[in-house]
Amino acid sequence: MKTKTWLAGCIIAGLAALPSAALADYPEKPIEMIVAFAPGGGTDVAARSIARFMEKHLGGGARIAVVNKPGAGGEIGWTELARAKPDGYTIGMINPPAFNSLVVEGKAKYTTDDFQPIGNMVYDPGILVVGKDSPYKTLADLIEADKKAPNTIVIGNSGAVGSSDHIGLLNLNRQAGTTFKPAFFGSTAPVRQALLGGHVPAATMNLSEAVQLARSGDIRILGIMAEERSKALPDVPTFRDQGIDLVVTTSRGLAAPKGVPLEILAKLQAALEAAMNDPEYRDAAIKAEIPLHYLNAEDYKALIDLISKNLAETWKVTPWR
Amino acid sequence: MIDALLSALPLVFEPANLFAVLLGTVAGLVVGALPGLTVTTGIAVLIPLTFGLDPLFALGMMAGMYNGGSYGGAIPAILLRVPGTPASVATILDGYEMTKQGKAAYALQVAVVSGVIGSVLSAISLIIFAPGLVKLSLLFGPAEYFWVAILGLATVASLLGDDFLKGLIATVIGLLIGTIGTDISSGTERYTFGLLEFADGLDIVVLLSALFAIPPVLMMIEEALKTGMPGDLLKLKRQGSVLADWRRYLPIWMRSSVIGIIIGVLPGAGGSMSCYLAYNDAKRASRQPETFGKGNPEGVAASEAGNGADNAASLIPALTLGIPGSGVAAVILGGLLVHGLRPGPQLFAEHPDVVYGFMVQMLLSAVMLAVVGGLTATRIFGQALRLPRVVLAPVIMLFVTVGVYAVNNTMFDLYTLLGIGLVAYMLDKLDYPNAPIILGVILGPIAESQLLLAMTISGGDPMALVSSPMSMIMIALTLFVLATPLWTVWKQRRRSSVEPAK
Amino acid sequence: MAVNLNPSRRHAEVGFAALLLGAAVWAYVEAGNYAGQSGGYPRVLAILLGLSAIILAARTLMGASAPDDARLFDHPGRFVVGLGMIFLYVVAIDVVGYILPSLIFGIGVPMLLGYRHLQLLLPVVIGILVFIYLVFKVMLERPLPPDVLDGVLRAIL
Repeated sequence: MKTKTWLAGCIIAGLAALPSAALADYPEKPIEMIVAFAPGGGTDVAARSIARFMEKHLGGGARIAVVNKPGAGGEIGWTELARAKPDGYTIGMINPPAFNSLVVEGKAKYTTDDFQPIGNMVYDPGILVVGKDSPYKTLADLIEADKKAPNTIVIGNSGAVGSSDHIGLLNLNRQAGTTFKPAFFGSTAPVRQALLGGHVPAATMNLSEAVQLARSGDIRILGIMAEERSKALPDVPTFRDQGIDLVVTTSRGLAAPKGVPLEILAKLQAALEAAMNDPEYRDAAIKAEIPLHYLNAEDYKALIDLISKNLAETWKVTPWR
Repeated sequence: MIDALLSALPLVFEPANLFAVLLGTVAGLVVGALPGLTVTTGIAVLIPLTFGLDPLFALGMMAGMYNGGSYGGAIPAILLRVPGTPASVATILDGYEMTKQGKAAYALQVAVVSGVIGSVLSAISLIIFAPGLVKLSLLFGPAEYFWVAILGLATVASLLGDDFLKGLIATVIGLLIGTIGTDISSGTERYTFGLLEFADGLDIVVLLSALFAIPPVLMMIEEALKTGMPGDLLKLKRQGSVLADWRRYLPIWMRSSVIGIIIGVLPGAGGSMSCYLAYNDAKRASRQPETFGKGNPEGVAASEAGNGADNAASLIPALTLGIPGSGVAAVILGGLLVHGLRPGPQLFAEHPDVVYGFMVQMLLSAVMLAVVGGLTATRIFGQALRLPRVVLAPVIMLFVTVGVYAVNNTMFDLYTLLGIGLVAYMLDKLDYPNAPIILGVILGPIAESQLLLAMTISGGDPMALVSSPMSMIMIALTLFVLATPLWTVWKQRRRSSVEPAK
Repeated sequence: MAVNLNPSRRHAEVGFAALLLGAAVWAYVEAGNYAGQSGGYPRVLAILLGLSAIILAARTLMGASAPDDARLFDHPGRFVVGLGMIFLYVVAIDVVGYILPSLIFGIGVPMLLGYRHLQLLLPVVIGILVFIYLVFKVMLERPLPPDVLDGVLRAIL
């Protein structure tokens, strides 16, 4: 009896000692960073870039290996991240709202509570754009045209059914009483080309994907789906400026599986913040027009929860699938 | 433009930047030659390492990788019948036949020279025509892309082989495989068995390996030949020089390059299609179309020239509009952005030295490819054939398994490989052609989604499909492609029915 | 008995056509579950596949062109061995990892087929595995299937 207690005590002590010993010199082996998309995509390049700077700021010869687990719109990689051991050696990129909408649709094998956010990196609002020769000068023009001829105006969509673009358009239709029809192009490049070639009258995409074309005057942004105007294009009004409360943003951030030790979380969060403030990284990001927007773990969690709440409300009124 | 070129040249020829192009070309060759690794992966891994380096060093590596990788795929295609990239499927048709006939060294030589010529012409057109050609790509909307895909499918007619019915079945199998996955317009999952791994469809690398690598491996094991190819068959001198035969290939190189450049400029159509179209064109123009698919080096020349010509051209919309013409162009675009080079018309005004430097590097890497790919790599890789076939078969498997696993990092793909590989073996054994399957898989989804988009945009009016001049041109080309094989057959029949009367 | 293991080419042709027909019927029925046009396109393809398979089977059965004694396999035994080895190889990768099974597969298959020149076989297979390891794992950081040898290799490199 006594030996048993003693043994149990030892085991507990050992268990308690093990992680803290490991913590002292975390990371002592390579950290895996799961990317739920294929190599070469935006998320992949972002992950590989930040990984390099986080290695630097974690110090001690830390290694972060990017592991691509693409498939099913991110679901495979995120499920894997959710199920990984929360020891700080598996982290991953998450992409709200796609990340949340899988949960809201009731399709995913994870919930957003299975994750411990580490921090947000990119915050990229949705936009509604038209070509430079379009007859629609403002959002009001476009809405009016729809009211005159309902169900005729097609808006190119840079995603698929259930993408943030699609949900944004559903919300716009609901709030403005319009009947715009989405045409799903699947990714940004083809919809941008169709818009420039005049094959679709208008399109939705993310701001960072259109900044350069807007600056050069090849396209006109009718509205940004954000709380405030973009620093990159201060002249472009938000939807709120034009009386429609439409906020749709995509974000890109880091998360670990839920239950990761607090000390490790703190280390990762500090490394992420330092990496994002690294002049070399900032410089490259600004050049590449990546809308960096750091949020710490707590704020990022709040943002993710807010996105989930809004999505759930939309789903109730207009299920997109 | 001349000023910009002149100011760019000294930068390009700095020793470090020259070395970058060379390094990229060699790395591209290796990456392209290994199934499962793609240039896209190589460049994606490279980009973060180029932060803070001279832009032309980074871009030089990318340019080298692009051209090197696009030729690299031809090496295993010709030697082992394992396509390193989807684009090299058309190269297999005649390249592997040549290998079987003991002309591997010549086939590789044809491939590298043709690839280099295509790449060089493409790079030159990039330098000269970039701003002009981009207007062409804007003429293509969903309706036009639908016809481009149909045009590509029409080239199946030249790939069918001897048995029309089996060719048709293979095409339909490909089209059906192409429907696997989530339909982006409705969110419906088709033929996924509820498996997440199938939600994005079958991965093309898995499919390529299953269709083209597993059957020959099984057949080699069945034959169990304990000898390899005699070494002297790999010596170039005995098999003639491509450059000496330039008159024979010149028209093919020119036409294939033009096809490759045009397809390259169209975003989304992609490299594999230019190979098929170029191959089809060469076969159509040939006096002996029946020798294609039976080891005619002109088939290899057409496919590889088309493939090489696609490269630089697909950067034209990427550089001028920010619209990548291919997956690789998309990653290169990312690399440009990291170095503060914003694509668009203003790019040429703001950073002429870097842009023109990069374009010259595309040209330079093509030339380096002639040396690296033609002389060194071909000799080294060619040695694989000297291995006894019983050894070669498992060695191919080693590359295939690691490559297939690397695509998505999942065992699931390896089991898929086994399943499809067994079916592919049966297809092969029963003489079903397998190139049409790949064509169906690649083009079917494009045709379906673009048709649907065109219909959505036009509000369901089918006239929208034929309303633009570009659509009409594509339809005319399709009819032309379909009609020529029939015409040739008819002509031959007439000739053979006339001749006995003589 | 031997007939079943190694069917005539003609029987194999018809059998495979029957399989295709079965697949086409399944694809057609399954596509009925897909809403609207998502189901229409695959259904058309399924019909096309089914019809082609029927015509092919009919053509083979009626035509006397193929000699009936042509067998599908020249060496059915080796085919079965090869297929079995490949299957075991993939399963072993799943269980043990990439490197060990590859080593055994690369050396074992030729030996099973009667090839004995180890002085060529060993350096080739080991050399190729080293090359693969260097390119995939070290140069491009692509993960290989998790391996029991991982720790050892990490210590070496």
